[in-house]
Amino acid sequence: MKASKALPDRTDEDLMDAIAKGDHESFQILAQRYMKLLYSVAFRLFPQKPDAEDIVQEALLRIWSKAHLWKPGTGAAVSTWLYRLTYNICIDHKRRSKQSMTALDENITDGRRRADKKLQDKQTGALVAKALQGLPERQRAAFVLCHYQGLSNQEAATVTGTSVKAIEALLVRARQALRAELQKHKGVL
Amino acid sequence: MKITQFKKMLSIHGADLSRWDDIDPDSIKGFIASSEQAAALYKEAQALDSVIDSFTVPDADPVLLDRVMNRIGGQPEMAAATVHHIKPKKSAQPMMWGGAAFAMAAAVILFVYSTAVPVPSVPDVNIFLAELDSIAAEDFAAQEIIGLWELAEAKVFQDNEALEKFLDELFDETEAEPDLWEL
Repeated sequence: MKASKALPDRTDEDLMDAIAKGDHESFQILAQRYMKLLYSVAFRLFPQKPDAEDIVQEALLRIWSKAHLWKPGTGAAVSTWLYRLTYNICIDHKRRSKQSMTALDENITDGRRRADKKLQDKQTGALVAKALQGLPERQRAAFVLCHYQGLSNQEAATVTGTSVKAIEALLVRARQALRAELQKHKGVL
Repeated sequence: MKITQFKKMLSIHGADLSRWDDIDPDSIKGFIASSEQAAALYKEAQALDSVIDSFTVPDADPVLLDRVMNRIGGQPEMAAATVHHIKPKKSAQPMMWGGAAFAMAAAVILFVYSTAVPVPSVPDVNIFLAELDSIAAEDFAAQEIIGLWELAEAKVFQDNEALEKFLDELFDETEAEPDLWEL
């Protein structure tokens, strides 16, 4: 089954309603609409492609099987619900398997041997990924959702099941920890 | 804006002013331009954000969605399963109609049976007792009448009990409607 390129202009709520009734086409449209966003959350929390792809695949399958649980008119946007679904799977994933940093470190070492700009950027990106992995789970989630995904503090609080004040505190600590970690590497900051 | 508030917002949201809740970006820019300390802090935050943003996400496997679509293609009833819960099972309807027909047939049989047995009906018994009242002075006759009355009552009771037992068994076998709130 090939994914269609067109994204018909249907609201997320309409799509969820149709998915709950078993409509494959609506599911495909919603999946295309959100797959990249969900993948970027998963990858930033678990910077290994196979892990991130597994998480997104599981998230999409859960959307299909749990669409009937989403209730329209309850105030939460579909996107928030999808982020929360993905976040929960990430938490489960972390509990199931400890993240291996070995592959990431090898990439960094490999990058250091080369001088070209693209690889230097890749190296810096890998350092950031490693620094993010070093953050406590809640700090990392708050930072990824707000900084990278652009969610408001209120939305991030809904996704992670915490308060806006707590999100603010987590963001401050995450930013401080990232700065401290990145400053250890000469020329990065 | 005070420098303490500026520092706080910077430490929460970073250098992207569009993320600063409920604060006009132009007023922040004005504050940065007016304060050397604020400008230095802002430059630092910009540098940190720039490094943090170098962590980019590679493209996902282009066949990821196709894989998911293939998976759900094999389970067309998964999402629709919820709809099945709110509809009565199809097998329940023939069972109910069959059960009702069976109950009616049984009631007819019981009715025929009860009329075939010489049990006085309620008006008959009353007349019979009224007649017997007139000779109630005779002990023997009274005892006999009372015996007959009890016998008649027992027969009616027995038949009712049998009918109720039969109906209870019948309804126990009839599948209940699914509970909509057990989903």
